Amino acid sequence: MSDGSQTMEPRDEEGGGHEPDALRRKLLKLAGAAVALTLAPGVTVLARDLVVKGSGGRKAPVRYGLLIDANACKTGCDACVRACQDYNGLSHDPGPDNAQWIRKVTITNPKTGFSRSFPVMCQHCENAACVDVCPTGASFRRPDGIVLVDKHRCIGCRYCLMACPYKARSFVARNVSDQKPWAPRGKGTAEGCTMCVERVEAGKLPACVAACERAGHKGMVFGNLHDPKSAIAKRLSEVATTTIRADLGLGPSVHYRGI
Amino acid sequence: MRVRAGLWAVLAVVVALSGVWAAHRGRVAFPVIAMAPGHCILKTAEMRRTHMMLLRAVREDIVRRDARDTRFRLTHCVACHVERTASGRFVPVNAPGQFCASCHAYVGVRLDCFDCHAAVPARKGFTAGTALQAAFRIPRALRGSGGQGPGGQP
Amino acid sequence: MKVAYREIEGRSAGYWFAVIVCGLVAAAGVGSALYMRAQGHHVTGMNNQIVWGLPHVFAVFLIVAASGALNVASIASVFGRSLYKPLARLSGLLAVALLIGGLWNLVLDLGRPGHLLAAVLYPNFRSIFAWNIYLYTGFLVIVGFYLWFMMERRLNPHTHSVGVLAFLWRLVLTTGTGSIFGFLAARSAYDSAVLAPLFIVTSFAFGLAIFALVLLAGFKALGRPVGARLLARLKSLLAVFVAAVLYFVAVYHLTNLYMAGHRGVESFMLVTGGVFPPLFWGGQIFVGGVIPLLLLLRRAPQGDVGALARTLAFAACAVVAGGLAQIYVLIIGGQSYPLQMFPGLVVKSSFYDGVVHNYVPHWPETVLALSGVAVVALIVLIAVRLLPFLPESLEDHVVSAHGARTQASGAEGGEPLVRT
Repeated sequence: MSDGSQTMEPRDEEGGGHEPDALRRKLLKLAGAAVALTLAPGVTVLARDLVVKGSGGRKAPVRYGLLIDANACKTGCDACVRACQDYNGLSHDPGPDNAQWIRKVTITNPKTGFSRSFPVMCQHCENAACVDVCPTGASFRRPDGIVLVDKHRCIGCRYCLMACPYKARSFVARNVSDQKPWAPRGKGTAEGCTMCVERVEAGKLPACVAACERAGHKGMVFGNLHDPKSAIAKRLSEVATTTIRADLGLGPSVHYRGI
Repeated sequence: MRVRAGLWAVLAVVVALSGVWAAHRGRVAFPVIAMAPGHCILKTAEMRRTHMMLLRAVREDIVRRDARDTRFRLTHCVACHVERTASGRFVPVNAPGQFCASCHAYVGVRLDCFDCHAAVPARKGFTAGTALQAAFRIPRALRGSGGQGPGGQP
Repeated sequence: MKVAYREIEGRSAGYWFAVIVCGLVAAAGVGSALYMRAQGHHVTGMNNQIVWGLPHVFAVFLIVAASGALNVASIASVFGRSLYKPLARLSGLLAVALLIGGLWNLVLDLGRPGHLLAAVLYPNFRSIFAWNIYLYTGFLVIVGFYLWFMMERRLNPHTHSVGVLAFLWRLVLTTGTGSIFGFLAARSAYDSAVLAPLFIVTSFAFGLAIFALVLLAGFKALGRPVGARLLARLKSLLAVFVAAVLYFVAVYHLTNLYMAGHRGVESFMLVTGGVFPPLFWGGQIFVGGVIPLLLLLRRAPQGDVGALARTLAFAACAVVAGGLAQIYVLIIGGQSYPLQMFPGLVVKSSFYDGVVHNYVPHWPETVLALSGVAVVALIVLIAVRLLPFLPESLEDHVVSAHGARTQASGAEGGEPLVRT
């Protein structure tokens, strides 16, 4: 059969495939199976939420977070951005394909003229979209709430860049050779704000927060959201704050005041 | 048939030429491994066989399980084994002929750690001295079942 | 009447020319990927604003078309319309080839293709992407078995069961592909469950259009005959699919228009958004919808096979062109529209917040995108030479006799294989 032609008898192996009733039954069965298969991913998502989060609601002892006071943030000041670039070895003059782990955003209400300027970085969400969409688990959330990219697993598909509503992820599109030892980053992988994880572990403030403090603006508070005695938890209990795109339900660790 | 013969001929020529090219390039130089100052973390033979496994195991701990007090870290490897030029500048460990690169070139294994990681120590802060101090704590932890170095930040 | 399948001779200058051209384009795609890998993606038009570009447009188009191309086989062996049975093998082959072509684009565009094993070692099942990896590989395996069962006489009786599995699988697969976008709540143009069914009907149309084009071109080049009966069937089927796509596109846009929060992205896509409104109205709707419908629904002169074939070919070309426009508008247009971080407010930053992003494909990614198509053609060209995929004739008396219900007894008779 490998090289010759081959003949095949016509056959109707479906027996009664043309009867309307049989066809309808078959279609219904097929539809049922398709629905079941399609729902499978959703069920795993739900199950994970119920098992992991529904069990008594025991909070992790540490969840690092930020409170950014847009009322205290000065328009034109970019001390936090500079500090981040210096500490993490990023370009001072980024173009469209360079990373901006933190950036100053100015919002203006066109109807009222109300305007504020404040920094936006990775919001280290509880239900981070980047973590959910990452096919390899390279995008992950640490037990202390910091969301990182494990570049050893990142395949460079950029689905996290598509999924993040804060534009907090970027893709390294060039060869990098002057990394800082504490901030590895390389071509072909996704990256974003690490909340200066090495500094935080050493008991220091993230570079942006320290810079804001040095500049005397006191626009950023860093701390453990789950420790009621921490400065950030106290402040959050006193003043009205919000999160960006709270409607998406991602549960960011970065809170804003005055926007 | 003629097509097949032609393809074989092309293949034969390519194989022959690759031999000529390899001979022209000569043998890859035997690796030069500069001993780091002070003590070794593991015996050289052991390290040669297992360093990639150790690095991989520890990177999971460091990156994903936030167990950062483990002492067997790539930054420590670099801090001890990096060489300096006469003028005192660091030479990247993945530069041709250097500690990592010479061995990897010899065995023909691509070295991709430094696509992302810094191949020289930080100018200030971390020195070979602190790396050694930290590294001395490793052997027990690695041989034992713990996997985490005892003690806190130096 | 039996359907005889035969490998093509594959000795003509035209065949070798096609193989060599496709091979060269595929090789250029690999070269392009290596160049992107060595230089980084900054040599492409893609950046942190337009994250996915032309390779993804072609990849999604090919993957969607792949699942659709299998429909002809499904109609034959799942729904028992044996008129389509002689086409089932080619249908399965095209499905496999198109999927491999699409994956070719996706994989070669990755920033770190060397880490791909991580997707197998540490899959994250909350990610629709991870599911798709299994859906795509599973599809290749299932369709492979399907083809084997169709071609191996002893296994013919089981064709139906594998066919059902393949059909279900392709429905889930296309749902998965649509959900890559549908699950992205962050971007106003995606965030919609209707994308999954839209992708499914779209796959019917793209797949059938490509199938018809390959069939017509192949049979013309080989000088094998095709009858009017089959062409007329394909023609009306394609018309139904194209109409269904238009319906789902209308539902998608009407839903968005009705929801006040989504009107910004709608006015961008339909009116104000630079190249995208012309691409949408002119490409997707007019070329991909209106023209094919006009061509396909016109009554063809009785018995004029040539006219029928030309009509079908023109319509199928229009569907393919409109389909590419459709995917381009969805993927590139959806990213061009800025992220709505602060709905209703004017946003400015150094990171292009609140700005409409421009995308100009550069050479490396354009070559890569086209190489996926070349890979599809290469696979089909080689496969039809090695194995009997194509029937010798699709004339009316062959397909009609085949289409009629027969006494099964004759079928089991073990007719000796005919060598030609």
